[in-house]
Amino acid sequence: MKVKKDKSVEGLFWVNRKIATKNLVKRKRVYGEKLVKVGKDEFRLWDPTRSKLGAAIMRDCLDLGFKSNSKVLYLGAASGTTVSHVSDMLPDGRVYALDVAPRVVRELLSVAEDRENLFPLIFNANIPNSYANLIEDVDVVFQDVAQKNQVQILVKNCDVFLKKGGYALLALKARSVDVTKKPGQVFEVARQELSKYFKVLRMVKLEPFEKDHAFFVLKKL
Amino acid sequence: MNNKVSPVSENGKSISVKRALELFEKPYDVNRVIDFDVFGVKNVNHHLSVFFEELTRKKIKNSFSRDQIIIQTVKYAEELDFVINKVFERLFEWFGLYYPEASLKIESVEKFAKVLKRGVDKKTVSSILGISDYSMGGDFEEKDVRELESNVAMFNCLLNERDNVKKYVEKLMKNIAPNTALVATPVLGAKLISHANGLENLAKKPSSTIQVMGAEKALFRHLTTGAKSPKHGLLLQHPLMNKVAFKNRGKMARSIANKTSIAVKMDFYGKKVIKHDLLKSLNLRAVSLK
Repeated sequence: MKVKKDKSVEGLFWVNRKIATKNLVKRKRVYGEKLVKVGKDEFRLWDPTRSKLGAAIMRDCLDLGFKSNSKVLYLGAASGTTVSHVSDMLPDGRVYALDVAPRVVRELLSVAEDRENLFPLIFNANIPNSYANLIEDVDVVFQDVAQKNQVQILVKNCDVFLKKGGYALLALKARSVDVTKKPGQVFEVARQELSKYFKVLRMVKLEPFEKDHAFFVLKKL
Repeated sequence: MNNKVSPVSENGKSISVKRALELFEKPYDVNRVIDFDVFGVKNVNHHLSVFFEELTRKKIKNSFSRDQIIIQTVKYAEELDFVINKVFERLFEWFGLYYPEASLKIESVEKFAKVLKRGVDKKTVSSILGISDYSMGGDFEEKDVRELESNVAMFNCLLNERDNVKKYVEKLMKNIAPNTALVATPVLGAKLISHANGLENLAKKPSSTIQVMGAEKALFRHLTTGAKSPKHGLLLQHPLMNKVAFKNRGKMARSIANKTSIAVKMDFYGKKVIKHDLLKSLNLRAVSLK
């Protein structure tokens, strides 16, 4: 087993050309992923077909703004598949994982109980003011909510929580913005809208891992 | 645990986890000064995670409402229907191997269950149906017949369960959404609630959405390719839909959707007083569309 540290992303590893993170909670799987033991360390392989952030990394989005002590606001955490890897990458940081649906947060909670740097929250990302007093300013905002007004939700949240020069990451699902339009059109509209508020660093399509999705890497000016 | 110092302070004083949770359970209030100020303390992450997990647990607990039981029950009923059909098909084939003459006379689920209730051997069945027990079917050994009999008993249990579940849904609907149960019938009303994922969500939906609920495939085909729009989805199951002329089904579906939407809004936002006018006007409309 060959394990290589990634050059640009802190906390990311390559195990036989597959991405992985160092497991914070030894011998524990979150979503049935593979565990690889190398020496004293244990790595969790990151499945890019189940995680949009993983897919973005596989599509060469490597400038993501994650450092080992970053504070991250994660909107649309669901049952904690991607969140668990983010939490692995930031052993000294904090991840605020937010979702509206109590059903999925039940599972997220069981992931969070093992991890001291992961905090589950049930709130509507549409109304940042409802949780504004609970969360500190963050270095990275990640958003994956599959809503019609995805872009506006990101802008609102970054306005309240993101530090200057911080990164905003957006996984945009064209089919939930408008099913009747072609994905390329939706992405272009979103890009123009986003460039009003951010510097757009990267935009990649997530094919073949995810259909009709684009991933934006943005920087707050 | 609740007496530990929380990461929260109220008006400048640090408070216990218990008090902090009480504060955050209520809607956000701008006048109360609540701050996080333990970031200098050791083990910040530990304090924070204890607090956030407990807050989330409370929120999950508070998010429960009784209409979620309706959703689970009606989905259970739908799955029971599916299982019953599958099991019936198999047992019917199985029994046909043994006594084909009888199986031709009991081709519906209800008849099959009723006739085979007392036993599946040729003598019992032939005496119930009044036919000769001379058969072209295969010779089953005693233990084969016993096995088939126990499977049929299991099948009868499933049918009983289906009846019980339907009654339970009706009871729940009359309790939680009486107007919806009246206008849309209890089972269909429950299906609508389950489709919208909750009474609140259904109450927020316009009646045009309720009209095409369950016909999403046709609706999105209409939106993307410009094909004809669907007239009705789940509402086709409403008993009044059978009473109007075929060409008027779209109009009837629209009327039912309108009245159902009013009924749901009364149930969720109102005081659950039963209004009989809604069903009356629907019946009149059905007569005029005959």
